[in-house]
Amino acid sequence: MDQNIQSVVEFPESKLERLKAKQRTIRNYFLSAPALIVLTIAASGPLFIMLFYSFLTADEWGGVVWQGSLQGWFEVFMRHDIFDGTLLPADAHLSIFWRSIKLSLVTTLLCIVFGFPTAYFIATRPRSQRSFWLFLVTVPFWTNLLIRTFAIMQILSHSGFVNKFLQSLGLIEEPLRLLYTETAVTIGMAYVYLPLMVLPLYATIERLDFSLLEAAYDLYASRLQVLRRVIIPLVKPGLVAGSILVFIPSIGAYVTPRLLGGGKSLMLGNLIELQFGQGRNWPLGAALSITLLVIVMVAMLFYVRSTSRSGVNHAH
Amino acid sequence: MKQDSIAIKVEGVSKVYGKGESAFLALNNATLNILDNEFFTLLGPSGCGKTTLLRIIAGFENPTQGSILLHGEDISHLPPNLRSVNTVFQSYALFPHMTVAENISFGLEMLNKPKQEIKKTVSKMLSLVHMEELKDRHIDELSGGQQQRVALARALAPEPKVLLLDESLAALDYKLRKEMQIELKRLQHATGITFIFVTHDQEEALTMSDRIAVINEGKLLQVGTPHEIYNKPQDHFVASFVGDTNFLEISSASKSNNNDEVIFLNFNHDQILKVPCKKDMALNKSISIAIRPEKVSLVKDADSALLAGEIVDVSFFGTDTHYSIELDSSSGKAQSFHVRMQNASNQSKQYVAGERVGVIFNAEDIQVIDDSR
Repeated sequence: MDQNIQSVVEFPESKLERLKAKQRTIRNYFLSAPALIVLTIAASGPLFIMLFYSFLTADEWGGVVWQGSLQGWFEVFMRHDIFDGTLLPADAHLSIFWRSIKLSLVTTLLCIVFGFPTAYFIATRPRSQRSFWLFLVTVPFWTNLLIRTFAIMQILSHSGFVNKFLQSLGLIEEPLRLLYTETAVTIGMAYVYLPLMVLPLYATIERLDFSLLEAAYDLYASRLQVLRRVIIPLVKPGLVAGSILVFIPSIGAYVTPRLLGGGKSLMLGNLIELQFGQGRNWPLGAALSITLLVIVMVAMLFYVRSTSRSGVNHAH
Repeated sequence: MKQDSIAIKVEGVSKVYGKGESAFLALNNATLNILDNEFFTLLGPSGCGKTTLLRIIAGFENPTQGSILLHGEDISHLPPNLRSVNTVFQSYALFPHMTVAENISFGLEMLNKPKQEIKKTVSKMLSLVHMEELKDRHIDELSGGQQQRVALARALAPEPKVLLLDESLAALDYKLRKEMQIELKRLQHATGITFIFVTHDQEEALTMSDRIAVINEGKLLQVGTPHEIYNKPQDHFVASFVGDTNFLEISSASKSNNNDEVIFLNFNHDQILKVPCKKDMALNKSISIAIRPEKVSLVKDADSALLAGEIVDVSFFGTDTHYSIELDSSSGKAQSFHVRMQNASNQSKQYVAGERVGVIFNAEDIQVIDDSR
């Protein structure tokens, strides 16, 4: 009896709730419309233009001819020999792809190696000091990237700080060739993107229950085992997020490899710029851009997979 | 049960936090022996230093002074992972990224036990804490009581020489806590491991422990069996913290000679009770005595009793009745006194508020408190 009365009373109320919720959704869409429109046009618009251009024919002096062609995509991976016209893989492009992926991975690794202790240090300071240390991490953002990169050039150059220092210690006689190498590019990128690793790592380490470390230590784990068995699994979300945040801008980096890598250590960003500039091959540049996008998307897919898998584990 | 050898020897352990002006003495020169196979409780209010002592025994803190001996071996400066001592944390500190079984096997894996043995021990532990069904669950899918059981199993699995329990039952609700108290005693008997239990709950300490150490403000006040702690408190704090107590100032007392171990206390109508006391206790000012409310009886005849007063409050609890009495004061200062009378029979005499009553008790139930210590 009681139940019947209740359900009769409740039904219109829940219906009212649903109507209200629907109204709210409509209003929310309406309010966010300007942002959605700007995002759609500014983000996906250029992407579609790029995709479209990659299937056009290159004009002789730059720009495109409005005629469909797969030449741009073909040139991403293959080339014709200059003399006899035989089909060869575009080894220059492939080596740049490979270098981009390799340097980005090394950069990510360097950021983990330096970022993890930094984040751990900050997260274990007294609460009142943490914001000060976080503030220090963000200080490099105050200066323009170009200027910071020039500063690194000064440090690594032939008569720069590193060489002077090593010479004064007597460790080397002749200055080392540091600038315009892959090492310089990696160091530069690791420096530039380190905060992007530190911040998400800090956020997860800060939430870490430190009594878990004591528990592991109490249960006969050595310090290294505590790190491997307890800390790393628990801060994995932060590690993965930081890695993605470092890897994606690294693989598309333009300024850093351009200035620190000289002409030899080209990365994807530089190659793309070259096609739209001196190369005068817009369809190839567009196809390379899309290829870069695909690489990034694959990395993201990996990220989503690894986080959702740990989520499934958790709910299991 | 045989309890002769010493499991943990705490020798003059002090712990100072901070330096200079802001230094805080968390533990002041604590010395005590904890026996093998004993359920030992560190009892005290929060912030008294009991958890500090536990953490020093576990190895999470270094003592500023003194040393900790485990079966005669000085472990004061060994890190926690090299001590055969395990802790059940207040928050349980179970690994959230592992299942129940993985949590329990963690310590065994760290000790590099063979796989077969780990499997056997884990299933033994699971059945010991009645968690076989839930071994593949993750920690966040367990209730507080279940987490407590896993924490116990995890700490017991490596068969430590001593198990430390830090306020382990505090987070549980009343009924579950009662269950776990029985469970803990059962586990202690089943495993034969020395348990050192930290609590601020005096009732928990009395019901569970073989022996209790009462700590306040970093000082170890008294160590003894629950009976000794309850019936023979040697300190004002111990008497008031463990159970309810009436404190009385006796202005007229005498000792036949200063080295005597008895003291004569004067009550109403020149009634004198002979009570044991410390040998070197000085008789300079008034004597403080403690009497438990349940060891006192009320009588109608106020004039011939040891103390007399007026009932100001009556609370009926079914099994017993609590009376609040305002004592007549010869010195001008009114003292309130609590009496708990058991309602052993329906004919038990009930008194009403406003009634004048006499208070009687036995000399054996008086505990002289030497506040000069």
